Amino acid sequence: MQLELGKIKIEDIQFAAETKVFDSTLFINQEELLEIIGEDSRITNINLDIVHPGDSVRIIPVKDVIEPRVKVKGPGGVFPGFISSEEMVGSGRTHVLKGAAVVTTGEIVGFQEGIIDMSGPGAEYTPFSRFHNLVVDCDVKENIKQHEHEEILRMVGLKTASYLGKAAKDVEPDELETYEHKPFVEAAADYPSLPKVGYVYMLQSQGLLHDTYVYGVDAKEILPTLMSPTEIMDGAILSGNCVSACDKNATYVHQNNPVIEELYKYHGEKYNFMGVIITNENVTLADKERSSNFTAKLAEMLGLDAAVVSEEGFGNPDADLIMNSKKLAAKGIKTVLITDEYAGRDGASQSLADADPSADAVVTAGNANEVITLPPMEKVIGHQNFADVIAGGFDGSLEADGSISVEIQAITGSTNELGFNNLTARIY
Amino acid sequence: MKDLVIITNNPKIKEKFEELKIDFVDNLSDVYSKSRDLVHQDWKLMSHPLAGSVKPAQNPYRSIILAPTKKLDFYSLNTIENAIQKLNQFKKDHKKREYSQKIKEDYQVIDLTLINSALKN
Amino acid sequence: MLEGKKTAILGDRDGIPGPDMSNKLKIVHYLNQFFGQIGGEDKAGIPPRREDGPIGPGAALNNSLGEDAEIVNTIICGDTFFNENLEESKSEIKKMLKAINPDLLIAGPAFNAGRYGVACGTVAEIAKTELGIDVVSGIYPENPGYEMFKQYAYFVETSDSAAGMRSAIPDMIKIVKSYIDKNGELGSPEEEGYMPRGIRKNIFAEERGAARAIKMMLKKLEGEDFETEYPMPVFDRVDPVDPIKDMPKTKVALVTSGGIVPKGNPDHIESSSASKYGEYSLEGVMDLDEENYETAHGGYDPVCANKDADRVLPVDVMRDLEKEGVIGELHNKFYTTVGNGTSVANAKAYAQEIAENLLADGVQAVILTST
Repeated sequence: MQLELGKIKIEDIQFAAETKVFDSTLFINQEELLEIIGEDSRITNINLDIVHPGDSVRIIPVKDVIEPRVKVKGPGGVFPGFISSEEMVGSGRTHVLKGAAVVTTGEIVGFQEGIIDMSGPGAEYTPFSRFHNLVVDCDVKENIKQHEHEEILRMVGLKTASYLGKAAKDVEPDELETYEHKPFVEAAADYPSLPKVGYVYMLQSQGLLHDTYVYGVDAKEILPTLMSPTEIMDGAILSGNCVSACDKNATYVHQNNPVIEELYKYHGEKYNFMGVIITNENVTLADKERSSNFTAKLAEMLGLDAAVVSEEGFGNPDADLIMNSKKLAAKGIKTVLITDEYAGRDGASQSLADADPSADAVVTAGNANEVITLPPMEKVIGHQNFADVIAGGFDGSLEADGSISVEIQAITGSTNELGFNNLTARIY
Repeated sequence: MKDLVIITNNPKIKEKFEELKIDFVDNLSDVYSKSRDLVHQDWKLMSHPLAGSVKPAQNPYRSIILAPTKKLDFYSLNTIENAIQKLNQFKKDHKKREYSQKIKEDYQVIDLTLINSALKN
Repeated sequence: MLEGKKTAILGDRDGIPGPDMSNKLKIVHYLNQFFGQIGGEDKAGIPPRREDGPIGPGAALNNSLGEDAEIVNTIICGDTFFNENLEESKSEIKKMLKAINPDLLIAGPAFNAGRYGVACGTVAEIAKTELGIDVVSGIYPENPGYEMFKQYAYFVETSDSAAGMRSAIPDMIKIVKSYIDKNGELGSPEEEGYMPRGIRKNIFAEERGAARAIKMMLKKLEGEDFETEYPMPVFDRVDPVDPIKDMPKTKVALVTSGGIVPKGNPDHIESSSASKYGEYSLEGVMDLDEENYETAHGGYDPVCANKDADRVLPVDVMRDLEKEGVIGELHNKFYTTVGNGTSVANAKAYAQEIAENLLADGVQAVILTST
């Protein structure tokens, strides 16, 4: 499987008469876009806003962030199982509008989370402040149930991203990257003297608002399985998760999974990157046992010498993380875990809800309980009053002047457990 | 299935699972302490006591499924004790407030779907 | 933090006399009766008192701080008083600190003095959590005051006795100076020279997490040293032995780290950092009474233990069980030491010897009591 990612640099977004990319600017025909994404009769209103890095803008509550892309060559299409068919992705050529993103916002539940500040101290904590964002603020009819509401917003986001992506179809990319993943037997034969390494990719899968989709399948229904890294780079996994803003994996980070990108860097030189095992984080302990058993077994079948394991969420997933750690270590596989911490506002509490001596190599994305004060912004897109009930928010968090004191767990993507950011925590 | 018990303070669980054994308690802390008591009486956890990404103490509703077993299940004991510790940590920083009826119901729905997803498997 | 503190002082200045009209950092020093130059163990019962200016080691601290800072008051409390009247001491010292309203508290150094270390730690906890005052102190790493209170103070590492004062003072001054230079925002333990407080703090690393993970994995693969970013809590797990099948035929011994000794403490087991353990006969002893037994332990309120030592070493109940036939017999000797500040290495060595003696005497089960 060989995937070419053609990256088209986007340095500005503007509304215009025609949707197109010209001279690193993405022009959007607002009316045409609204017609396509507003077709669902359950939607009552959609507002579109363009925001840029450095703008005095706060977006709240954020549901998902998506990178606009288009399939140019080869099988399948974007967002398989939702926008495109169930055809396998991960080969051929895909064009990416690099530097642009679609941000969806809307009130699904009363305690909705997720802040993106485009400037100020909060902007340093969210990776999405670095992009030119098209914000889609969507309202639905009053009697719509929570799960239906989530689905509407998810689809609006995906439709918007795929509509914008089409503008990149005939544009010459600024950069062309090629990634290859061979059949396992061939891959193993390519570098017989190098250690074999893999990636265990844990997907949030606990139920309503905690879902992840693989080719359109709810990840809680899967047994752990093998995937080519190029499939994930080509959008096979996407987010239906809107709880826990700081460490939920937005669709954008699935599309740009940093562990996969980094693993490719030394592939063929220092190790042989064999592939990805995706697994889930279900509610029952029996599921956890089964999935971690399966994960360790697949790792053994691949002949892995080492693996990186990434987590999504906190609490319940800590149990999955530790089970994976124990069982991989028991098979003699050298394991590194990526997690984040909930060590309390004072940083003095136990960080995880589970622990094991096998977890001796851990990368942390920071303490999500640390408190930050976000100054007022000139413009707020969405619903600022959510700051008061947002996870990590507390009474009085929203000041009269519009500043907010919150734990960084309220900031979208701040402690991403795929290692997307530079934030970490140390013992002081 | 009929051996299961759900310890809960979520009224929606009571409505939805009439055929199951429900032990309805008054508050969040009681859900955890009652579950811990049962673990000491040879019940084991079927669902994780920190299920869901809504942080402990933030969601005022919680349901935990247990099943009888033959002897003390040490993993369950460890897990429920860790969960109680986490709950207390989050409680310390969480200022209690009165949620609106809509938000209460949203929290109940979240807890309900987590339990639903557990029972389906 | 420091900036906030200064504003608060300005607001509160009314009614507080003092020459400090500059930006000098206002420091309070906490000492025990010994370093406060009141007296030795015989003066350990004095309640908290507030003195003007620096005293004892405070003088050296104050001189080195020069124009940047000043020890305005010293609070002195006897170690015994502090430990036996914990709540009263805490509220009294809190009141004093509140009235003085310092920018920083210095406590000790306490070296390996167990009760003093715990007192310094407790005062640090009050200052930090209840009044928002940062604390600098010095302590021997095995002093229980460090493990119990490390999150509340910047503790520099000291030697185990006051002979280490000469290096402890400059180390503490270095922290205070850095605290002033950095406006109260101290860097990491390695940068500044204090012992880790166990507090997790966020920083931005040079590389993203995924890149750090791959590098850590490579080191682990190649067998090189690597440093985890989150050390898991340490478990010192002991596998449980098989259950006792026949209690009525079992010889049971009592062993304690609660310091129960025959009245007068004949072997002079120390009240903290015990350098020995004792072996005493229980021949014909049915009950530990006030006339004949007491505790040597200096780390807890001894009133209840002195009144009835069975509360720590339950000889009376064991004799009942012996009579009822629940156990075979109670071993006719007990072993005792003081756990307060005793190093793990020493404790292991004592345990080894005690276990060998018990085995030689045919003991099949032991009840360990602590405090």
